[in-house]
This record gives sequence, structure tokens and C-alpha cells, in this order.
Amino acid sequence: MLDSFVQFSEHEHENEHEKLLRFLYLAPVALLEIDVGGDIHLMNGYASGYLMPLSKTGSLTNLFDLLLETGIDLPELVASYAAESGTIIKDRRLRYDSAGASPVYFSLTVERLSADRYMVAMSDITIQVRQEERISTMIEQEALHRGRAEIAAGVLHDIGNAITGVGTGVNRLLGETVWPEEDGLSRLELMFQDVYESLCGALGVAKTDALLRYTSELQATLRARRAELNEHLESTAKTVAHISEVLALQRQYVGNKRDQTHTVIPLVQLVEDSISMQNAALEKRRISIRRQYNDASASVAGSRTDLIRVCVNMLRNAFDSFDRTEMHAEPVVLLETSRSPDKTRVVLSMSDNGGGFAADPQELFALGVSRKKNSDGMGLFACRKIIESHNGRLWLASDGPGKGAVAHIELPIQEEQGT
Amino acid sequence: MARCPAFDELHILDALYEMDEDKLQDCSFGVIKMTKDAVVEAVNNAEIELTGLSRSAFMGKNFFTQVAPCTNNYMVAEKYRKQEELDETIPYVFTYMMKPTPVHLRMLKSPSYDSQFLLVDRKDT
Repeated sequence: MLDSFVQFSEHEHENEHEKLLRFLYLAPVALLEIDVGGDIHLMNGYASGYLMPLSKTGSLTNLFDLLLETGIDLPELVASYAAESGTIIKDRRLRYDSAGASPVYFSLTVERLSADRYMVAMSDITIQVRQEERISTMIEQEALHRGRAEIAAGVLHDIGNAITGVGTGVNRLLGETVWPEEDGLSRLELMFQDVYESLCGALGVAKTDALLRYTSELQATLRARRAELNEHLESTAKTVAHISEVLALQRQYVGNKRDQTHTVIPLVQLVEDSISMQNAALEKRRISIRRQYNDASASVAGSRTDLIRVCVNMLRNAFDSFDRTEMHAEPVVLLETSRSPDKTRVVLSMSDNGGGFAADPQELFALGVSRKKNSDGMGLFACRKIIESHNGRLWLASDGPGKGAVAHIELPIQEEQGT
Repeated sequence: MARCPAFDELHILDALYEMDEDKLQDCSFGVIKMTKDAVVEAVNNAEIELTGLSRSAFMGKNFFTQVAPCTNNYMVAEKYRKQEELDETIPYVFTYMMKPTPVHLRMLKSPSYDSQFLLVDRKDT
């Protein structure tokens, strides 16, 4: 009876011992006990898992040697610690660069337990550090974007003022129905007619008739000139109005306040506004825009600014593709719209005959990935986020390098209010 | 009756795959047999004695995450995950009873078999 009790107790003790061992071994943090020289006496599973990739010899003997390349002077820190016990290092961040792999980051804590016993805790914080780096990059990009937006807003404001001045001048000229010179000539002609007999007496009939004819022709020429000028002025006024609209749109685009209002907008109008904003780039590159709006009536609901931002970015991607490619044909962007089979969604497809791409289209949407020079890689990443925030989809396709590319934007159709 | 091959025998995987769990007990080095998803199917006494753990701590568990997280890195677990065929021996350090213990690991995997093996041999000190 007693024997069986002792056996049971021993068995229970073994179980408890194994549980404790498993607990320490599987603790998701590296735990080590080292001496003042850095020699490792005890370690758990995670310690071995973290440290083996750092070992050049395939052994784990001395922690100081293993952490040498992280740049921390652990021997000095340990040796110079005077207190009998306490924290020597707390959550020190270490970076280890292994050949051919991304850097690994550890958080290191060292406690002195007694004269020659030190407890070391290490945890892998690589994911956390990468997240911090990504957030930091995004903050920098946002600051850069804001800075650029402020400059652009200033420039747009100045251009806007100048354009307003031009518009005012043009409208003033258009408001003049009759020029003073015309009026003067008309009165002169009437005066000549009143004193026709006297003039004939003085100049002779032939010269008087010639004078009247000349005055009349001069008036006609002046009227024709005014009509011609008015035609030019009307055209200029339209251009000025268009530029003002584009500037207003651009000011909204670069403005600090994001357009959070969701409105119902015809998709084709969004596309056409985006094209208007890129007119200069289109003319400079001699790019033809071809339209095949199979569904010209579909409207979408969303932020006009954000959706235009996406369309403009997609157009610019096509332009960049032409710039990168030695074009043997006229550069063309084909814009198509179509309705999904269930009639609930509209798809805008922007095809180009530019350079295309070989990469996995999904990779191009990753933050920081770009094939453009001087790009921060925010474009496609941000565009997809914007479209997804409108319950839509954005995807790219290409048959390969040199075979053009197509960007598809699919959005839910929103019926106009009252229809 | 197949004997247990030596740790460094050339075509050891063929022999190990044919051995049942009883036969694996004849091996003087640690043998862990697992599925391609790293779930432990068999473990021999040599490995159990080396670790100080009970058989239940191994069986049915994911070897890399639940039994031996010390191997859950690119040197061991990643090789099993990424390579279809594997026969590589590396020096490694296990932590038996929390003490660093130098070992040799032989990692074995083949598309011909639905199980993979990890052999553990204590280094001569």
C-alpha cells in the first residue's frame, strides 16, 4: 500500500517536473542563464531557435560571441555592473543582419541574479519593427504629400488669380457691342450724306462718292474685324472657363481637407474630368484617347476627389508606360465602360499599348512597389484602398512586356436621386 | 527483421519508412517520424530519454511549434516547409533539460513517402 503511494507520488512528481520543464521550454521568449563571461549554462527552446541562425560554428557556447555582430558591448555592460543584483539592460533593441536575408530584430533584457548568474530574456520583435518602419514611411509620405499639396495649392491659387484676370478682360471686351471707332465712322458717314451737295461742290461728285464709299467700306471692315475678334474672344472665354473649372477641381484635389462627402456622379463625367486634367500631358506625348462608352449612363456614389485621383493615377501609369517604352505605334489609351451581367456594377477599363509588365499584378499593389522613377510606390496601393473603400475592385492585367496593359475599375452602380 | 541503419547511412529514409514504431526503438539515435504537416506519428525511446519528456508530449503534436520550437526557424522547419526533397545533416544545439546540448540533425523528406523524419544524434564530446 505504502509502496504504491510512494510510486504514485514519484509519478506525480515526475509529471509536475515535466510540466514545469515544458512550460519553461515552450515559453515564447528566449530565456538563458549565463555567467559573467557570457558562457551559456541553461537555455530554453526559443533561445536555441533564435540563436542558432546567429551561430557561425553550429554551437551555442557563449552569448557574448553570438551577439557580437549586433554591435552591443555586452561584456562591458555586464562587467561594469556594480550592484549584486538588478537590471543591467532592459528591452534593448538589437539588429542582426544575416547574409542574404532581411535583418532580424531582438529585444534584449539582462538581469543579474547573483554574483555569477545572469538571466537573459530575448524576444523576436522583427514584425513589430517592420510595422513601425511601415508606419514611419507612411507618415513621411503623408508629410511629403501635404508639403507638395501646399505648394501646388499656392501655385494653383496664383494661376487662378491670373486666369480670373484674363477672364474678366475677355468678358469686358465681349460686352462691347459696338466699338467707338465704328460709331465715329457711322456718324461721319451721316455727316457726309447731310453735306453731300456742298462736298460735291468742293470735291467734285466722283471724289465725294469715293469718299462715301471708302467710309462705308471702312465701317464694314471694322464690323467684320469685330465679329472675328468676338469669335476668338468667345473661344478664349470658353477656354478660360474650362481652365477655371480644372483649377477648381485641382484645388479640391490638393486641398488639405479631404472630400469626405459622397455624391452620385456619372462615371463617364469622372473619366472626362480626369482626362481634362491631363490634357497637357496628352498633347505633349501626342497620346490619342479613344472612347467606347458602352454604358455612358451609369453613375457611382463616392468621393469625387478620391475617384478622380484614382482615374488620374491610372492615366498617368499609362503615360509613364509610354515614356518607358520605345513606341513603334501611336500611343493610344482606350477607355471602355460596360455593365456587369447582373446590371448592378459598372466596369471602367483603361487599356494602353505601352510597355506592359511581367510582374505578378498583385505585387504591384504592395506598398513601396513601383516601376516608375522617383515614385514612392504609394500610387497603386492608395488607389486600390480608395476603390475598396467604395465597395469596388481594382485590378491590372498585361500579356507581358511590350504588350500593353489594362486597368479595370469596378464600382457599384448608384441610381441618380429621383430616377 | 530489418535492423536500424546507422545515423549516416546513405539511403536511410527507405529503411526508416519501412520500420514500425517498435523497430525504431532499436535505433541508438533519436528518431522523430512526422506527417508532411509536421504532426508527430512516432518517436523512439532514444529521443524520449534525450529530452526527458514523455511520449505523450510528442504524439499528435506539431513538432516544430508544440514540441521543439528551437527548430522552428529557417535552418530546420523552413527547410521542411519549402523543400520537396531533403537529406541534410547540420550541427545544432538542443536544450535537453534546459542545458545546451550539441547534436547533429539529419533532416529527411522525399516526395515518395507521406512521412518525413528528423534524426537526432548527440555529438561526441
